[in-house]
Amino acid sequence: MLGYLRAQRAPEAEDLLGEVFLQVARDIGTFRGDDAALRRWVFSIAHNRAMDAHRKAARNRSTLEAELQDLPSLPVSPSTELLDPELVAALATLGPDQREVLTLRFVADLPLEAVAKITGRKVGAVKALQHRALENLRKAVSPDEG
Amino acid sequence: MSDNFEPRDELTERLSALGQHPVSPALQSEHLTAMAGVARGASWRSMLASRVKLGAAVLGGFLIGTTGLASAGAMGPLQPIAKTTVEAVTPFELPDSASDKAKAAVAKAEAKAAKRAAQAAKPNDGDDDGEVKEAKFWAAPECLPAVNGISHRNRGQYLKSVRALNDAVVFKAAQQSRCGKSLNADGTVKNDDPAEDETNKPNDDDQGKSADKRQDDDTDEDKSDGRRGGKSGITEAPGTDDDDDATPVVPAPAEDKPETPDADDNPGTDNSGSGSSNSGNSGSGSDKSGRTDS
Repeated sequence: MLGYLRAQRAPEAEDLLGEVFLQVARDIGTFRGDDAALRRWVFSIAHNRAMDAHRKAARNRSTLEAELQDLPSLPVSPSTELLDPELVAALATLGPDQREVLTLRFVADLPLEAVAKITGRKVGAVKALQHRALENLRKAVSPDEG
Repeated sequence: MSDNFEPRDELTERLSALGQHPVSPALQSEHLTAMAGVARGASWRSMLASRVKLGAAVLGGFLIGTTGLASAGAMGPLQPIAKTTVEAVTPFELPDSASDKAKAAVAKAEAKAAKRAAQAAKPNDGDDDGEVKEAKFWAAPECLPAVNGISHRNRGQYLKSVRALNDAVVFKAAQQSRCGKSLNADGTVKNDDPAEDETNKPNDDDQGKSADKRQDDDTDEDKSDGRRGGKSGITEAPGTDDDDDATPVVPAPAEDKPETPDADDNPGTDNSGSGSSNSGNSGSGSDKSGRTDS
């Protein structure tokens, strides 16, 4: 979860993580489903929280686009940089939709159907985004390979 | 997460590694504590909700008395409703209105009343258990029926009951009556000698027990003076079956003894108290002095 939020470049990922788990604790009584559904539900909360955080930051920065462009300059948790700074930097070059799909698919390890539900897209659209996102990320990580 | 669309490669593995980095223990503890506080609050709210529901049910029960009545199964047509309502919000189980307990109580009360009525209506043969050990005189109207619903086993009890009525006239009549006296085989009252009226003895409510037999028959025969020795020839020997009453046995006063033999003794006088009638000693009228109203 924390890795996902960090990969999403959510501002104050640790605090946001706490907020996600608090909401999970409050609403867990109303949840009905298996483990996969639980995982999808928790990450959907995290996704929404992250998006809210970005919007809030964008309001503080006047425009969301400006916030996304300034993502690399956003304060990054030292732990994130220690993990894989090259990869994190490469993720920052992707568009928000592509980054969102990649982080949900691979960082959160969610299936296509779950990603589709969380992002509000169809499975086919998620596949397409994932394909393009991986190509762009690969280019960003290894620009020599093209 | 593997799927057929995108095979796993180095890049995807590196992306997966970002999500597998462990959270610092401090951050983990902070989040778990916060989650536990939320969980406790939720539990408390749910407990409060259930307690409020229970409290409302109890309060409602106190206000209209349904809880107690429902518990006793005494709510009649409302019992099923109260039973359902109370049992829905409490762990208690209430009896049905037609419970065996209520039925048993009613049946018991009815049986008791019926038994009491049967005893009152039963002819007083002098024995409560229905067994006539010895026939006794209880004929009406001379004898009152079961006084206050209490039947009498013997003359002593009869007189005691009558005395409890606090009616001097009635009590005096009871004293002078043959009620409770044993009967002979021919149906006559034993020792039924008017001259032997035990009521001659004042303030003696146990005439039947005052069996003061005359030792001297001659003295009994000397009743021509009309004296009806109240205690002369007292029919009943001491220690008769009227002994279960606490009324003490009072011996005949000396005044009742005949003074002098009289040639005009009344034939048939039976100082032994055999109960034979004595024309000269007809028991008509009461005379404390024992004198016969010839």
